[in-house]
Amino acid sequence: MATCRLLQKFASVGILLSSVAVSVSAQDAPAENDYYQMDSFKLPEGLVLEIGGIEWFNEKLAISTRRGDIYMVENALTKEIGDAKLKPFAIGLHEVLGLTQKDGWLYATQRGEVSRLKDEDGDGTADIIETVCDKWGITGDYHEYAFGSKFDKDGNIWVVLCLTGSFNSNTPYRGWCVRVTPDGEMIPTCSGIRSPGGIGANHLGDIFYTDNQGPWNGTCSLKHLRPGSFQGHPGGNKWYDTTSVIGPKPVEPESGSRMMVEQPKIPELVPPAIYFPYKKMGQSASGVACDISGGKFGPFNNQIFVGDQTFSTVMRCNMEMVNGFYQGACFPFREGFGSGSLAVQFTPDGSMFVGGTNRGWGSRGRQPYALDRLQWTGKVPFEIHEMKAKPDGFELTFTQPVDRETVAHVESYKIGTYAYIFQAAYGSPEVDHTTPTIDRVEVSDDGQAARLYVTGLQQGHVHELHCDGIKSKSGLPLLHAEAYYTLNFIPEPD
Amino acid sequence: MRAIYSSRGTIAALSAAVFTALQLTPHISHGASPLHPVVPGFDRIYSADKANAVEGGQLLLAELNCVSCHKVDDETAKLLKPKQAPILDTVGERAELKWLHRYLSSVHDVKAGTTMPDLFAGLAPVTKTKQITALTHFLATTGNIADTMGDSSAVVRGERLFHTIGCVACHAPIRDGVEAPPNSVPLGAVADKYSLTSLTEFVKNPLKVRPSGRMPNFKLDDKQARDIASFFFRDKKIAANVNFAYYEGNWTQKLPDFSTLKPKSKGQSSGFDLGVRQKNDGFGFIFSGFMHIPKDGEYQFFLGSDDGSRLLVDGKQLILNDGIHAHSLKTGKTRLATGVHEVIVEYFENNGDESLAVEIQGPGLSRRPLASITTATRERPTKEVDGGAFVLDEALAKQGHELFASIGCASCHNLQQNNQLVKSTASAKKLAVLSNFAAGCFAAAPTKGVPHYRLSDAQRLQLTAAIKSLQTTTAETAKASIHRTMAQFNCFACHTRDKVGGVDEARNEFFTSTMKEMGDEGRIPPPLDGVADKLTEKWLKGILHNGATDRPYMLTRMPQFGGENVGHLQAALQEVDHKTEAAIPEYELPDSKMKAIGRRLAGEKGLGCIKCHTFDKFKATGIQSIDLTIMAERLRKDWFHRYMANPQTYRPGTRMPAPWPFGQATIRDILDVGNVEQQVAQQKESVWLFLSDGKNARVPLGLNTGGIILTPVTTPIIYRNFIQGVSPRGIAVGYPEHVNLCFDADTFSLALIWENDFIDASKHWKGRGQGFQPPLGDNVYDLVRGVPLAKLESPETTWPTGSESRQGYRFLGYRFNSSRQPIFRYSKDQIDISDAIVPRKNDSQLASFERTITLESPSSAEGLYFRAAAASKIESFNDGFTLDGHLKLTLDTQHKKSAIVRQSGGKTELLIPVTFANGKAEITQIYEW
Repeated sequence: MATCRLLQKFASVGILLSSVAVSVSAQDAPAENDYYQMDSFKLPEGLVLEIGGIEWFNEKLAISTRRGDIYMVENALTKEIGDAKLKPFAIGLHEVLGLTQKDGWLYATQRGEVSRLKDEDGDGTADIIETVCDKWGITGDYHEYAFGSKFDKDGNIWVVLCLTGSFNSNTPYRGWCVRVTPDGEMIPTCSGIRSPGGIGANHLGDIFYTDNQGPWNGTCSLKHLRPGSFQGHPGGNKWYDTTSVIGPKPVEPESGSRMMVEQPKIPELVPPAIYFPYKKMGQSASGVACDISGGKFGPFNNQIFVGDQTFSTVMRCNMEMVNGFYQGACFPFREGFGSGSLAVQFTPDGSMFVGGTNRGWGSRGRQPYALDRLQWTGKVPFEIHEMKAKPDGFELTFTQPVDRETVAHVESYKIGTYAYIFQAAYGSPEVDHTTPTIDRVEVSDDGQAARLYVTGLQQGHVHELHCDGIKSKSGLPLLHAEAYYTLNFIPEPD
Repeated sequence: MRAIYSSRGTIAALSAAVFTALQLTPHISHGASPLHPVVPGFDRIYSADKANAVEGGQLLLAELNCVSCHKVDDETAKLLKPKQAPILDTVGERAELKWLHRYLSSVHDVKAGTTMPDLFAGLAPVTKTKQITALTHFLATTGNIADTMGDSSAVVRGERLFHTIGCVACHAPIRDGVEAPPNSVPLGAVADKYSLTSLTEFVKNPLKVRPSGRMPNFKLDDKQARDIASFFFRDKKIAANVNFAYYEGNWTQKLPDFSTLKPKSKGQSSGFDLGVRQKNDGFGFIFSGFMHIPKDGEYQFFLGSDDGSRLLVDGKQLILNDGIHAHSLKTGKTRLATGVHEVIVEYFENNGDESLAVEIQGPGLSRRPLASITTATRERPTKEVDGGAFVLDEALAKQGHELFASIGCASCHNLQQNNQLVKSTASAKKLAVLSNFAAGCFAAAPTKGVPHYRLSDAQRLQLTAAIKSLQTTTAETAKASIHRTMAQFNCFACHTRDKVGGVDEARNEFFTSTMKEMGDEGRIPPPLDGVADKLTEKWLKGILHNGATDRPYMLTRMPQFGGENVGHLQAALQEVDHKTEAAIPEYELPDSKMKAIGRRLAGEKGLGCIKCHTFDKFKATGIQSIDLTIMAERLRKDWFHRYMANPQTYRPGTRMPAPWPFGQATIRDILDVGNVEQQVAQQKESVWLFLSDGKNARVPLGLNTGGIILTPVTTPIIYRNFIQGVSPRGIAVGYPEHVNLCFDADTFSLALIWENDFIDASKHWKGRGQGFQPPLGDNVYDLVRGVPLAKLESPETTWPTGSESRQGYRFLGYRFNSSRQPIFRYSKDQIDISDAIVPRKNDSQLASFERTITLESPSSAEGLYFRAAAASKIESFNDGFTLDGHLKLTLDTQHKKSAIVRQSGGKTELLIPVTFANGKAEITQIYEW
């Protein structure tokens, strides 16, 4: 299947860049698995594990499910995994979509509350299930998911609360992010949320969540939960009437406009840091995890990884701060997970675990649920390491020294831009297409970076860059040649 | 119809006056035509039985409607219940004039076996022709018939329906080479008489024009009615009714401007028929015709095509369905005045599949092909009657009107014009004074001015006997009334009662079932012996008034005969059949408990009723017999108890096994009351009580196969999700002891308790999981909601409700005890509460929980009350209280003493003052239900 996908990819490249010869045949093409090896756990017959949360807890991998159970995987890190060795820790919670831990307690974000669980007698099963905070509302609508973060540096858990459906907020703080403090208080933190798929921090401790294509979300995206911010969907704004913690209700955006047209009018509005172009990168952005392993997971330290449930993939993101807002690029990273990727989690050894489910929403991965492990093989793939915005173009850094000739050649690249309609109706097509010109490319002295000088950068547009013509010093093409940069702001010259 | 084209692409020449070419459907006359009027009840029961000549004669008096001319006293009329002749108010919309003319000219030849007499048989030919012509003109004033066409698939469906739903119980099956069975009610040449539309309307509701219900209403939907009618029109050729111009070209996006193109061919077709194209891709059409709109009003048009099309009415575009696309439908509405309107449909096909469907719907027109009301020319082709064109002659019509009254038509037929019923001026002797039984209607040869029936000898004989006995007629018994009615309505064609009637051998094969393995029971309508003993009054009445659909597997339908016609059977059947002799037991358990037992018995591990009976939307696991959820509404409880003892006594040959064979309980551990007879009776009663919940009865075990049933085996199972009847923060716990609860973490209350099965998680665990799930088990008891503890100023203070009641409360989750049973924890202000609700073993058959609430408080918390219950009725007994006569709540001695029962907020509440000792208080309650 992977070969097949690759072939398709190359076929489309052929159309895109007819002037660039592709010298590596499909058979010889590097494969993702050469660099990041995927191992799939064989799950016990009859046990349904639709994984929505993962945490490393007491030297075991804790996994939580949509059915509301928490299991401990005892052989998560063994070299050969095969059958998952599972032990139930707690059964019968309400859809746990977030696990974290502190002081011997496992914290679980259920649909209606954050709870903490402890095994007091050491038999491997929780004896206490204690409610920490249940101060947000639920109505019984299936859509009202609650995704919980890890602890932040102040000991809070951040919970993003999906709207009641796509448009409405029928009970307090649906469509908001709230922080649950160590003493169980709830602090409304951000508004404007639609339908989250995951939440996680970057290496600096700033919290991000994924929101999904729908009303006020032209496509799926990664958004920064800056306290006090409005994330764009006004469906939950009535709760400003019940709290003054984050100030007055923001001005409502104008439907049919563009994000970066509305943003200057609404100071609280934080534009999505990274758009995941629909059907190109995925269709349902999900779990968020940051590689802070210091190199155990390969060359992407401090980068953020985001799952996509429909595509059964994990994507990779780099971000930078421009004009006081996060923005950055996303790249394909790894495909072929067993089910619809939902929970993404790193363990201290530098392994990535991905839990999946496709109940209710289909996925490319055919299994109804799955637990997969991804480990770096030690081989460095030839990838764009980072894509950064410059006042007059972009800078690309690479994971390997490059072939100076192909990288310096403007014909090796293809660039296009587009935006999304910011609207109350569902989703958006790509609009306002432009084609900037890459005037020249400079390769850095160390051969690890390229500076693209571009005429026609578009503020507020996704810049879709294909680098199919470039090669590494050793002659390999990029493992993933495409990058999507969300250019909310064009940096000012220094 | 396609039959008029000799081959695709060439159209047969069609004269505008195709009506002259109308071929008449051959008479449906298999075998020898009966000469006498067919009254199936008479032929079946009486014709060869001289002993009951009076009864047979009375039946004829009613069915031949003798008493419409020969008057009888009211009492006799009431007894006879004569059949009313068809209502002729709008006969012109229903029957072809040409046929009416022919029929009147030769009643017994055109419809052999008809009960209508020939009124002209004895007249001189000239007079006869004059009278019939005048009557035809008169009848022509009652409306116009519209020509329509059917389609071949409808014919196939119609044939199947005609031969399965029960039409052939009375009429002869229509099969080549098959002789008409005896007692067949003649149909005549239906397709000559009706139009497809008027026959469709007639079979949809025959009681409208034939109110006496001899032809009952089979509850056909529009499509089925049209299908059956189409079957009768299977050989009918219909005139071309649309003009076409045919084009060829390669149009890749939308309709071309046809006005710039030259048609490849032109002609007329029957309907908007693409069959006249000459190739399969790259062609186009302009169809045109004239719609004859019957009434002023708003009409909706439906235009479906692959590829593009548009529809114009009177030159204005109404629907544009342009572009290259798969078959897709667009609609448009417009107001149209009565009369003729031009319609044009343009169409093109690029490549691939092609289709075009044009339909209309509006006042007086159910949705139908538009071509059914179009003609190719603006003028309708002239009607012709008796060899010549028909032009209505007012003077003749007036004469016909007078004749209708004078010669006796109006004695039998109602015909109302301008709200005026045509009154019969014909006179005849009273029935009672008739003495010459060889003359008048009895005469073998037609007599001038006397209706000629073609009576058989047996009919004459028995009519004579009946008329002679008129003076001695006494009040009819219920039994006789049932028999008479069943003969009149030909109930005996399908049903037996008192060993009379039943399906004829010759018709037997047409009684079929979707469940072959049910044998005769699944296909032959049930015997009616004891029917009113079996069915409730309401159900019986429903069947008599509206027909029945109780046996969905039986393809023969129980049609609607109408309450006016057969409603009297209800009382008569009850009088004859009712019995009240079952031993219905007393029982001590609460109803909900009994229902739970009944549910278990009905399920797969019980008596297995669900193996053969459907249960509302759930299919049975074996054959699909009558729905269990209608049983209690349908059956009399007394009969149910008797029938269950041994179904064979009531329904010999039934496949229903005896659930309690030889009076024994095969499931002995249920309701073991120490006496087999009592046990059986109580088990039966439990099933009855369970069935009494009808559609609300809980689904018996073994049916919910798509479920994800959570069953606690050794330790309790917790299920936190949306539980019906509880806030979204429900925590359900199922215990291996077969008792279950749902704690409401939103109000800190024990919300629901139930027994047996715990929960079906499939609603939440399949798909996205929308909705609230009810408990799966039985005997669900709904307890009080709202905070459990409150500080009250006085014992009279109203219990706090609403959001303020949550002030100071906090839910703390639960801990497990050593048996893995959750102990709920919550706090109010400074008080910590743990709430242990655990299953309790007991000797009674009742489910039971023991609940211990432990409170710890640093202060004495004066004025604190625990609300133990709220119900409509709370009654005290030694150790506790009974809630609503159902749930027993037992308290420890101390709290039983201090408990307060009070009326508050329209409910009865049970409050327990909480007193702390050393900062601790404990309240124990036992729930039994």
